[in-house]
Amino acid sequence: MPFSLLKYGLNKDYPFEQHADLPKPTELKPHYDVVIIGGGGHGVATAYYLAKYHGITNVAILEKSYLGGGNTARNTAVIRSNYLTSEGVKFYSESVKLFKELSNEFDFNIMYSQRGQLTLAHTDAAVRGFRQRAEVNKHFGGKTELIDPQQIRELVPTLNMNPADMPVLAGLWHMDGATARHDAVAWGYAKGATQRGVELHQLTEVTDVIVEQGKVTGVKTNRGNVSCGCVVQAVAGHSSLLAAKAGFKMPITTFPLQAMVTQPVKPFLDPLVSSPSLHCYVQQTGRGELVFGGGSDPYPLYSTRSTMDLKESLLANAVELFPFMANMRLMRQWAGLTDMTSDYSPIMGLSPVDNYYLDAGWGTWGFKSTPICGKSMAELVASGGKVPELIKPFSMDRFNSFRQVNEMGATAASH
Amino acid sequence: MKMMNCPLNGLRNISEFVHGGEVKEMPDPNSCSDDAWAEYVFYTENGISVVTEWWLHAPSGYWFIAERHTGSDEILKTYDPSVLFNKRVEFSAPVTEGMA
Amino acid sequence: MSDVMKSTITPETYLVRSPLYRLHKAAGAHFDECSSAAQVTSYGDRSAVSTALIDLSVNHRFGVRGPNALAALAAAGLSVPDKPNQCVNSSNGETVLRLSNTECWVLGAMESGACSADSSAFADCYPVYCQDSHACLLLSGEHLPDIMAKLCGVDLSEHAFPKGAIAQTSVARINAIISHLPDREGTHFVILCDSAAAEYLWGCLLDAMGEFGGQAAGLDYLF
Ligand SMILES: Cc1cc2nc3c(=O)[nH]c(=O)nc-3n(C[C@H](O)[C@H](O)[C@H](O)COP(=O)(O)OP(=O)(O)OC[C@H]3O[C@@H](n4cnc5c(N)ncnc54)[C@H](O)[C@@H]3O)c2cc1C
Repeated sequence: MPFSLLKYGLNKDYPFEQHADLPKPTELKPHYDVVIIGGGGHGVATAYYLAKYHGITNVAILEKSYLGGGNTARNTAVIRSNYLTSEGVKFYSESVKLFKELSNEFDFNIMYSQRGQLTLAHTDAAVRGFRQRAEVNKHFGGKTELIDPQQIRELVPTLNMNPADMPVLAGLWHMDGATARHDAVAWGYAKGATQRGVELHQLTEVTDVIVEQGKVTGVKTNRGNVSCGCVVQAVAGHSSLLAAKAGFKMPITTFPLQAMVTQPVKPFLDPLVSSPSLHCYVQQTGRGELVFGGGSDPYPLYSTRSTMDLKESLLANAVELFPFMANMRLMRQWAGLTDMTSDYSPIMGLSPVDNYYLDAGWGTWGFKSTPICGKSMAELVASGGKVPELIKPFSMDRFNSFRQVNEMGATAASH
Repeated sequence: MKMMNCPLNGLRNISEFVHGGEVKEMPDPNSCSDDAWAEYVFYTENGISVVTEWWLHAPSGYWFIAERHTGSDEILKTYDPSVLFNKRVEFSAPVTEGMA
Repeated sequence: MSDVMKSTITPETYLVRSPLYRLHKAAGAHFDECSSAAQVTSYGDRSAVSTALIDLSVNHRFGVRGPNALAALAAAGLSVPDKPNQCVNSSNGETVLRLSNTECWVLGAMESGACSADSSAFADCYPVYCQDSHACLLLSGEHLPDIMAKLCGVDLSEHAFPKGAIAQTSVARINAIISHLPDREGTHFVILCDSAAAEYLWGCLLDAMGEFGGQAAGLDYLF
């Protein structure tokens, strides 16, 4: 036995501690300039950019569970920018650009893997929609085009071109489509933020929001109260619950969203494949597993227990796309709570409470926006509430002026 | 499969039903403010509690009301909407000048 | 039937057609005129068949709804069931399906295919135009509950679903109204479904009937 191993075995202090990615937990301070509620990718990214670009480090991220254990850990990691509206495409394209550089920036491999995303059209209406999306994307510098069945066959020879008797008519081929390891994204940001002085407090639940004269002044937690200059709320499926504590309602409904993964097999599938008509998307991970997901559960619920019916239809549709999947074993299934808006666009910016900023409404599509959202929220906080141009269209009061940003067609079952 | 008791058709698989959102009081569309209308159309309680919701039994096209817990998914009660709504709602468009 | 007859009565002769007419033609069905449309009279000799699937889509039907619907139908001399999800035959051979507290559909008499009135005759009711929106299929013969159990989650066996009962439910994953016809010898389920899904359901039903020896048939099977 190597001597060092014996030494470590007999030592009370675990040697790894010195090189840990995250500092040890500390007591909560009585005051922070910025409190970020929610230690998911969005919360830690906001803290990272606050510290990195704005020198704001008296920041606490309060996470009721553990770092990145919410939807950040549950998503299927699709990164893309082939949305429909110009507001959406501009915003998501910025995120794709940041994602490409993240591994270098963190000095931490987030396993960004650009393999392209293929969305299938089974109806003439879908083909028309795809044509529009391709044009909008190209206009903003994205690499997206409409391709025909022959090209689809060449890209994905294993695909059933007539799934569920709905022939594949065309495809939207989005070359920028990619995946990244979601945990690594959360950890990379958290490490970068804490190294710059930000505090990450796990197992710290915000139980109430203290609002005085229309302005947030602090939060109550299971570990005591802290006062603060401002708050960023980034709690995904729990958005309405936190907002209620701060005293307002949101245009959000919370639905469970499921995903599954099979046993690993030899690599056969490069692109991410999704069929909005079949409510299903399939991709192969670097480890060879097939990850697949689909639409949300059919009605609102705060439970990740997941219904059998949805599992059944998801499996049936996945097998339609790739019939040989019927012979594969399922390894895991899980769900997350998604905060859905009625226009399938997020909510970023101001709230009815002063100094209380919103990062919400990310529903089933918010992993891909982690970098740009964090960067924009940091800008918003650092400027004392001046909303950056890029996220102006996504303010909550767009619903009050009936200026929704309709991304429904570009979001359904592609995430 | 989870089941729900339809006041008209009896106990049925949940897949026969469509969720229709929280039951809310509708402000008068002709006189209310934009904010009040937006509040009615878009904003929701979305809490963890027993909620009173609209549901549709799709095969019979029948709308009814259910009380359900959004945390446990337990359905406590279902009943005909006439229990809460017993008058027909008229939608009279305001007279706009210049319209023939 | 003579060749002359076969060549003159075809679904295309009439404006009213079943959503399934192409399928019947392709299968070599024989047609005859019935309520101003071509009705399938036979699918060849099916007299020995234990269970038959018959397309009654061209038969007339209409619906009325609203608080006055039940009283209006009764005033027109039709029998109206006491409770929702029940059906009764009227003296003129029409079948009245009560689908909710305030909605009824009337199916034309089976042999003539005709209704004595239509929705427009009931001024103070909301009309429900179910003629073209829906297809109307008749499942007749033996093993009906067993056949339906393959497609539908609701128990349609005799004790749970006696003559005169209606189930509005999901059949082979599409919405359908199943009525167990009253007063008729043998077991007869009328199945109403969206006409756009008729071809799909026709195929599903035939598939489910197969193991029981069921087949497609025409009106000849009944009369
Ligand atoms: C199955 C599934 C698949 C998905 N697939 C994709 C995809 O392919 N591509 C994509 O872009 N997006 C996808 N998404 C969406 C994406 O996961 C989310 O939009 C994104 O992760 C949101 O990040 P977040 O940091 O805001 O939320 P989260 O990671 O959920 O973080 C919020 C945190 O807030 C904490 N919190 C809640 N309440 C409190 C409180 N009171 N006090 C303190 N902390 C609290 C939670 O514990 C949680 O850790 C998917 C989602 C799911 C569920």
